[in-house]
Amino acid sequence: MNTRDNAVLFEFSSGRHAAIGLHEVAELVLSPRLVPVPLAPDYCHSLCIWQDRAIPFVELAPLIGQRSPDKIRLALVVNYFARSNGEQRWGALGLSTYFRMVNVRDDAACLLPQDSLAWASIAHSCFQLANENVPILNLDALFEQRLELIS
Amino acid sequence: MNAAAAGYALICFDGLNLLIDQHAIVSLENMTILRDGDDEVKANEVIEGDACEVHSLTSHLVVANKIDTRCSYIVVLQADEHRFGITVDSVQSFPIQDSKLHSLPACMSTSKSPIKAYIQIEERIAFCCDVSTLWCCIKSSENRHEYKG
Repeated sequence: MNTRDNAVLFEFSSGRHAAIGLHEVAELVLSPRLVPVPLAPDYCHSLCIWQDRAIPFVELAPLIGQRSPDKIRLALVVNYFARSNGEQRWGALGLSTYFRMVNVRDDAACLLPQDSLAWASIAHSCFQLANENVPILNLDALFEQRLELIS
Repeated sequence: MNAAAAGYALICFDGLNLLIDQHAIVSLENMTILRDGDDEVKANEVIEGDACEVHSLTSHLVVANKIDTRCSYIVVLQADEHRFGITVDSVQSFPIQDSKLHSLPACMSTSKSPIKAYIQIEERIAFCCDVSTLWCCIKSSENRHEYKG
């Protein structure tokens, strides 16, 4: 591992990537056990059973108006501190493929992707990688509020 | 703090486990009578007394297109002044302390949903279901089966 790596880049839909801080990664889970929650939103439809906890499972594709993969094969369990009370919490992100670690520098900062207004609610910032604007997720914003999908 | 166990019933249908306040349960009826003959005609003979709508729900809490006669029971529920039945595979008493319930994560909760909390029961997750809000969900669902005596 390159000690300068400070972020994890993951693909959540074909050709689309997002990133989180390296320190926010807890575990990669293969074939996560998901329990659908009735009437939950499309992007957060299930609880993921992980280490005897039930944690919210989020898919980014529906948040930006894209279709979710037919089968969820990978989940990235992440941890964050809730801004409301400082409590440590966990969530799970659906991945379409494995993640990789990257080094994100300040001079790579760019505008958020313009394909969805949701990014402004759930991303800290954005960096450019190859030809893609990659949002860096704000996990507290993603898991601690109900987002209204804009079609 | 009162740590007494609250009276819930655990009902199961279409792979979904729901916790219902036992005070909301009016009666439990057997569905075997519906397995022979005309289901639509026989259903009104199952529920005695006043007219009562009977529904089968999917695991997404949507009213199914038709009554699922594979279910074993009809649970008759009272939500304010409304009385209705839902078909279920199983029912069991389930006393638990409310402190054992976990609130649904903020990202998946909504005021219109009857699901507000959950509990882990061994390998399963059961969702705590508010009956009044469940009634509102059923009324807003397009498919409804109504049986009147």
